[in-house]
Amino acid sequence: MTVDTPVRPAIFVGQEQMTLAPAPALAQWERDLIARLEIERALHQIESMHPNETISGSGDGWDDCDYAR
Amino acid sequence: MRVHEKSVRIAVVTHERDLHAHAVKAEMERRLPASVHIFETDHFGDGPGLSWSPQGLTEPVFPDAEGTRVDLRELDAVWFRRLGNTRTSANPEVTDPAHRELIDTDTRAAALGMLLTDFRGRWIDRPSSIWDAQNKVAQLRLAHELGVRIPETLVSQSPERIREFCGARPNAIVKAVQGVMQAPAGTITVGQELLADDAAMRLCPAIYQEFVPGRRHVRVQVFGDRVLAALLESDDLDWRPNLNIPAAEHTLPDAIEGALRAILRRLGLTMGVFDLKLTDEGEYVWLELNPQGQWLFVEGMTGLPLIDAFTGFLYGEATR
Ligand SMILES: Nc1ncnc2c1ncn2[C@@H]1O[C@H](COP(=O)(O)OP(=O)(O)O)[C@@H](O)[C@H]1O
Ligand SMILES: [Mg+2]
Repeated sequence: MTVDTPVRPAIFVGQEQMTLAPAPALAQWERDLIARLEIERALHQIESMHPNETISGSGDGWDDCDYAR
Repeated sequence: MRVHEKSVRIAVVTHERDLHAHAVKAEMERRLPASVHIFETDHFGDGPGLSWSPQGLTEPVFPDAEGTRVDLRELDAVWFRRLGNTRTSANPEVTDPAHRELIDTDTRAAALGMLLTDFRGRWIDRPSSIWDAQNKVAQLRLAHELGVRIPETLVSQSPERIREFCGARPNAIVKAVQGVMQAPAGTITVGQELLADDAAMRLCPAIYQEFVPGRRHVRVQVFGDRVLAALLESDDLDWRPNLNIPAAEHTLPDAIEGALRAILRRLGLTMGVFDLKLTDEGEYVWLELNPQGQWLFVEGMTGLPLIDAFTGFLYGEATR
């Protein structure tokens, strides 16, 4: 996502951006939760989402909202 | 739905596909006389959207995710989780980044203005308190003042100062002061490559810290009076990229719990999610506070009853 420029901010020296490993157990727990709570909206059918990708926390890239103002 | 029952009305201000919001709504409506409306603020444009007038030409209404018109004056509480969303799937036909930013910014400004003007109930938590508390410079100082152990820290863009600080502290780490959504960055070890790169260090301040050793990372959820902590065991410097790790409920010493509550009190917050590290010597080192941090995954990883605890907390706030 970041463009490869010769000069980059300190936090990006040595890393592109945080890469997340799939978390299949957590992703399965989320699917079970959605079924158990009968959350009608098809949260688990998001096309862009890999089955191992999670939407309940730190692993989803939304993270802790540090970016908002 | 208990439409005719006298019940509390709660809204969650958030964005699309927020499982936290859906989980709490489902639990709350199953258990308690309450209705929960989810405002997907990045999708207001899908339906009738927002209209507002200082002269009261319109009712102050937000459409919820099910299409219900919700009058902000009738809400007992607002869980202010997220506002806007720069990565939304809404409006795919708009591709110009400036136009997309405008849609996000102006929706946020209008929605926030309407809430601040017409909503009269209880905030979980006040936007201004959340945003002030999120600042890492301010929260590090506050934690330090309250006697909580924090890592030795330098926030700087001075190559000389950074080299001096990191030279004296083996394995020092660097992380963002705030970061950007477009490229989330993890905590990394400061290497020789960075220390030799004056231009990189000079671009903007970053947080440089003493490395806190150990593999025990602690995530603490404080929901009002409830404190629910989890111990995550990771050999990685930053535990977040790999969540396939041992995780279990954890009991904090009273003194640490007290300190975390004191931090929230000073910041005018009723809830918060903290990151700490527990050293091999058994000392807790405070890293940060996320006023609206993610917590649902902690229930998934540990079985801690966080949905239940949060639902009780939110209902309590709405009926206070
Ligand atoms: N000084 C430090 N020493 C060791 N590990 C750290 C240090 N600072 C951060 N970390 C690790 O990186 C993670 C993320 O850092 P944190 O301070 O929580 O900032 P953020 O989550 O906003 O990026 C922490 O949970 C911890 O695992
Ligand atoms: Mg953190």
